[in-house]
Formats: sequence, structure tokens, C-alpha cells
Amino acid sequence: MNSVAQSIQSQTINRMIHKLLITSLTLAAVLSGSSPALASDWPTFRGAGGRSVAMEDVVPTVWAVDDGTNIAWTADIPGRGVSGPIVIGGRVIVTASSGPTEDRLHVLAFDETTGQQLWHRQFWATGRTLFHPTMANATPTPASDGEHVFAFFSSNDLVSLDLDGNLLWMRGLVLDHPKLGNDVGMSSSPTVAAGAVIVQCESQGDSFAAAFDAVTGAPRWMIDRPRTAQWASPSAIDEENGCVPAVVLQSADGVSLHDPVSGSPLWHRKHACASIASAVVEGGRLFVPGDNVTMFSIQDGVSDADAPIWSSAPLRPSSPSPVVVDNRVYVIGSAGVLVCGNADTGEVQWRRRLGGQFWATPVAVGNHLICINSEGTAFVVDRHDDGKILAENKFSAEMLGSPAVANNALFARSHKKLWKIAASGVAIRPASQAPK
Amino acid sequence: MEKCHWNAGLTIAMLIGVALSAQSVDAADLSPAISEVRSVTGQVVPAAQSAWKTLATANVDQLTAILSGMKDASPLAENWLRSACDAVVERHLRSGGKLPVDTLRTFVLDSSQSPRARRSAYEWLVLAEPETPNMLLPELLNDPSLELRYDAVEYLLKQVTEAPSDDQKAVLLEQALHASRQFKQIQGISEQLKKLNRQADLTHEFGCVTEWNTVGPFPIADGNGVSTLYPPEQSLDLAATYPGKDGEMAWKEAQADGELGQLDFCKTLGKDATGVMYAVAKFNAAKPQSAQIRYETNNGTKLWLNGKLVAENEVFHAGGDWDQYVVPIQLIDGENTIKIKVCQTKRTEDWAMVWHFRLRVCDELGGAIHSEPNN
Repeated sequence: MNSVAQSIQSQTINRMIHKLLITSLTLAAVLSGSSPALASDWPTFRGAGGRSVAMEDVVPTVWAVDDGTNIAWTADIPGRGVSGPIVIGGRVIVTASSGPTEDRLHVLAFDETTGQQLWHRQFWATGRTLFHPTMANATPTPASDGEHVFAFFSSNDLVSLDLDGNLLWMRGLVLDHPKLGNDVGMSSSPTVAAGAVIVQCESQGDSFAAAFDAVTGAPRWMIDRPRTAQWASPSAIDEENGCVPAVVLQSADGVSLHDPVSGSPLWHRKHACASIASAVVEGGRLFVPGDNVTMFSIQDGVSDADAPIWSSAPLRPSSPSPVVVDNRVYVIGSAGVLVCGNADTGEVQWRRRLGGQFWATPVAVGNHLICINSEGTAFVVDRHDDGKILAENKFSAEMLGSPAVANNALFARSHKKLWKIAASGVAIRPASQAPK
Repeated sequence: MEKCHWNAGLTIAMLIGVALSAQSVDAADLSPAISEVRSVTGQVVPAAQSAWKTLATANVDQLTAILSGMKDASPLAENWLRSACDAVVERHLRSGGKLPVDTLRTFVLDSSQSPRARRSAYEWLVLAEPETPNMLLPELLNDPSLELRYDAVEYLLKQVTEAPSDDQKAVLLEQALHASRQFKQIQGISEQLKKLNRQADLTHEFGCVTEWNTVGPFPIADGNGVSTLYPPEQSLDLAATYPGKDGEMAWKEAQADGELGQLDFCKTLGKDATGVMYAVAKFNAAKPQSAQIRYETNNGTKLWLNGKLVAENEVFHAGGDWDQYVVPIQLIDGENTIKIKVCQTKRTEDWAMVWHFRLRVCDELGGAIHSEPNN
């Protein structure tokens, strides 16, 4: 055998091993109901497990976009977008929409380290592109299972690409469900579980939740949902959240857990839920936003008869979802007041007026909470010091998308810009040194 | 020396021949991939993914061949083809290559091609030659591509500020108004005309139907009224009367004289009124043709054309925007009957105490189709 043949044989064997490894990982992921995304990635709206928590990361407290302090890089984004960035496999993925009717859909990938644009794919919407001026067609945050990117839009167009920007499939959900959509806009972000991407599409017309095969886009399951407008996002949860693998769905009149493989309901509670802020699961406890935040225990199996453990009226979130970490619940109310509650009891621990209107869900980074209001002011708050505001960093741009945290960096976007905030700067305390 | 010339010429001719031959072979090779991609549905087969990769790795000279595949393609297939072209252009530019501007320009000006394909070619042309808008947009004011048309109107509007007199400005604005198919753009043009003391009749410009006969309100006994069959739904007789809460109800002429052809039931019934209203309009078409009814309302509706149900939207107070519902229709030659049912349920919120609709007839680009005058 000559050297070329040896080389080809060697490459072939390597490819086979690689494929086998990928297949094994995918199979393992499917069986376990989780995705192969790395723990350090930020694969969905609110990150892995839908908790918006990055306890091991260190992000600067202070940054400045005007003089570049602690700004690792800045990238331009076309059109508009209120979706959040995700970080996956060394890439930062962002969606945007443009054009006079915002029927142009964009999916962009940037190198996580350098900010260089790696690829940019464009599509035309196949569904409705009417929405409130606050929103954009690019409102849902994309999701990834570590191998595929699932970009979803208010027009209910769902696009699957691999990490190199190769198109794998696209579904125009309105082509199959013509009455799907509302003219305020659809904002529910997809999630990923059991080898499928899961979308929650609720409107007064067609209304459903569905799972589509990550590789082929084939429907795995579809369940009817209440025919009312709904903007909250589903969450894929598992052992990391302290419970069985499940998908959490909420509507105005109830919250439920579903088997990620079949969509079958595992648990349902009639409950007045928020229509924008999304539920969060931490430590086997389900925190449901509504007029109050209400907590259910779902740790030791679930039963329809389970009563809530507590319901706290002072914990009343506006559009941002609650964040639960270190046995504390954090919500931002409509007056721009950050409220911290005890996760065991719902009892308020402290309040801190931040100011402004908030759409983005805050992110807990170590001992800090980073809260970005719609005017683009990022408040860095000390969670352990009664919410003391440590810094106000101004992006000076409208910002509605929730930020991502990965590999000691914060990724935030306005309509036109994507920033990576990371540097030696002023380090924050590791979580292990948090005051008891 | 002469032989040398001959050799050089032959070599060049051979190279061109080889290049052309390679290009045509490659282009032919793309046909199966284009065909495969054109047949995609939401659920894909590996062959489609493989075909997309074939197209995405094509030579930049084959860009317009791929774009040609968008002609009469489904919306999903258009997206598959466009995104493959994105990959081709991206890779080519990254390697320092130049885009085939002459081919792209010819493609943009070929109105037999898919509007979206032409728009794509235009965008890459602008990337390669930033002066392209100055060269092409004046020719694209009435283009079938809504995106090219929008930019052409914007280009024309820039000239308004440079026009030496108000009269000349008004001429340009009128031209822009008639060419535009975009609601906000048209509103902006109208505002500019107002500043010149010229009135734009947008209700007419959009093709809003304003002459109606209405009857109601029929009380809602159960649900929201959308699925309940009331007498005007079962048979249409404008001379008929129906029992109502306050006596017999008869069809009445109604003028949609609100802003942009809005017919506001609250104006006559009060803002907290509820029930079901029916409105009927006659529309004289000059010829049988494909068209659209576009309408906007905050209320639940059913819509019929010539007795056939063409739309039903059990949606209440969920935004409501211009051209909220787009309904493809087929107009018959002569008189057509449009009937709409508009439902309002009991509401306590002030913002939900609205009961109205706007309706227009237009072509697929949104250009008004007006009812012909009665003979």
C-alpha cells in the first residue's frame, strides 16, 4: 500500500471513528433527553436548563462601549432584532430581520473569540410579519443542540442549519397552519430536547406545541394548546434542574410538564400564568410567573393534586422571566424594581430600584446579577449585598434581547450591534466565596 | 512570430472553449440539485440536504443558474436556493474573488425571472458596485419585486428634495405614490404632499371599498358569534328585515368614511355595543381575474365572495394592522358581491371597545383594483 492509499485509509478510519463518536453522543443525548452542547455554552434562551445562570463564569463589572473598556469585540448586525444571542461550539449565533415589512430573515454566526463573521444566511418569511413596533420578526432567541442551530422567527419560520451554516431543513409553520400568528408578534423561543427542537406556537387562530426532528425536521409530536395569544417560552429540563426530563409549557390558564419524547402530559396545574415571562425550574422546584410568582415542588414525582408550596404577590415579574439561584428568586417588576425573594418561602429579602423598562431576562453571573433595561443600561447588581448596584454600563442603544454568558464573557445585542464583554477588568467573586 | 501569434490565439480560444465547456457542464450538473431542492417540503430527505451542499459549493459563475431555479418555486424552495447562493457568494468573496457583475446586472433586468431571485442578484451587485442603485433603480419603479420597487421609490423620493419647485416636487411625489406598494412609505409620501398643500386620496389609492349596506347588530347568545349562523349568512336579501333587540332591522346604506376607508360600527351603535354586524358591497370587475381582498379589523370575522366563504378569523383584539388578512380571490367578470360578518363580544377594557373594519381589493402586489362604475 502506498503512502497516499495509507493516508486515505487513515482518513477514512478517522472519519468513521468521528461519525461513530458523533452518533454515539447523539444517541446518548437522545436517550438521556439532553443535548450534547458543552456546559460552557449558552445554547438557548436563558441558557441550558432555562435558568439564566452562569455561576462559574467571571464577567467584568464595568465596561464602556464608547472607549472599548472590557469590550472584547463588537460586530454589526443587519436589520433589527430583539432575540438574544446564543453561544455554541465557539460560535455566537444571532438572528435579525430586515426590509420594509421585515420579511427578510437573517441568521449570522460570529467567531466567539475574534468576533469575525463566519457566515450569514438569509431567508424570506413564509408567515405573517405583522407585529408591535417594539418587537421584530427576529424576536425568538435561537436554540442549539450543539450540532444544529434552530432559528425561529415571529413569522413562525423555523430554520435548521449546522454550525457551518449549511441548511438542513426549513419549516414554514404557517404554510401548514395558516391561522397561526398574532399581530402583536410571536416571541416564544424554541428549546431542544430528546433530539428534537420544540416550539410553542399559541395564538387565537391555530395553536399548538410541536417537536421536530433535529436532523430532518420531521414532526415528532404535536399537541393542541389553548387558543389565546401567548409569548412565554418552553423550557427543556432534566436532572440538572432537579427533576425528570420534561418540557415545561405555560399558558394563561395553566402550566404543564410534558414528556420530551412523546409530548404526553406528565403533570398539569390550572393556574393563572404570565403570558410573557417564562417559568423556571431549579432544584426540583417549579417557579411560575403570573400576578404572583408561585412555587410548586416537582422533585419527588409529580401529581395533579400537588398544591403550590407558596405564592408571593410582591414577586410580580413584568416581561423578564424570574431567575432562581442560591435559593433566591429574582424578578424585575413593571416599575423597574428588582425584587429578591426566598426560594423556600417566597418571602421578600430586598428590593432595589433599577429604573427603566425591562424586556431582557437578567443573568446571574457568580455573585452578580446583570440586568439590562430597554434603553440599554446594564445594571450590575451584587446579589448578596441587598442588590447594591455596582455599576451602570450604558450600551446607548435599545436592547430587548436577553444576554448570554459563556466562557467568562457576556454577549449582548442591540438591534444593530453585538458585543462581547470580557477582559481582565474588575473580576467578580467566584460563587464559592459567596457570603453565607 | 506569426506562428507564435497563432499559437497564443489558439491557446486563448482553447482556454475560453474549455472554460465555457466546463461552465456549461457544471451548469448542467446543477440541474438535478436545483430540481431536488425545488421539490423540498418542510420535512426533508438527505438528498435535499446533499443537493443544497452541491449548490452551496458551486462556482460563482453558476450563481445566476441557481437563481434561475427560483422561478415559480415554492416559498420554501426559494429559501433553500437563496441560502445556497449566500454560501457561494460568501466563499467567493472570502477568497478574494470578484462577483460576475455583468451577469448579475443582466439577471436583475430580466423581469421574467423570479422577483426574489432578481432582488438577490441586485443585492450582490450593490455589494460589488456601490453605484448600482443610481444606475438601476430609476428603471425599477414599477418592478414586480416589491423590494426593488420599494428601493426605487425611496430613490425617487430623494430627488424630491432637489426638485426646484413645489410643482415639480408634487409631480415626483405623485409618481412615487402611484408606484409604491408599501403602506408606511405611502403614508410618508402623503405627508409630504400635504406639506405642499396637495391632498392624496389614500382611500382611493389603496382601493378601499367604501360603499356598503349593513344590517345588525344581531345579539350574541353563545360564544363569540363567529360560528353562529344568522339569517344574512343563510341567504342574502337586501330587502329583508330581521327581528332585533329594538325592533325590526333592515339593511341600510353605509359609507366607510373613517380614516382610510374604515367602517366604524361604534360610531352609530356606541362604543360599548356588542353583537354581529353584516356588511355587503357590490364590486364590478372589468374582467375575470385573480385578485386579493385584504382587510383589517380587531373583531372576529367571516368573509364571503359571491356567496363562497373565503376567510374566517376567530381572532379578537390581537393587534390589527393594515392588510392584516390577505385573502386570495377570483373575481368574475361584472358584478361581484363581497359580504363580511364582523363580531364584537362584551368587553370591559377601553382598548377593546372597538368594532370596525377596513377592506380593499387589490392585485397580488397590493396595487388597487377599483370597482368599475355601473353602466
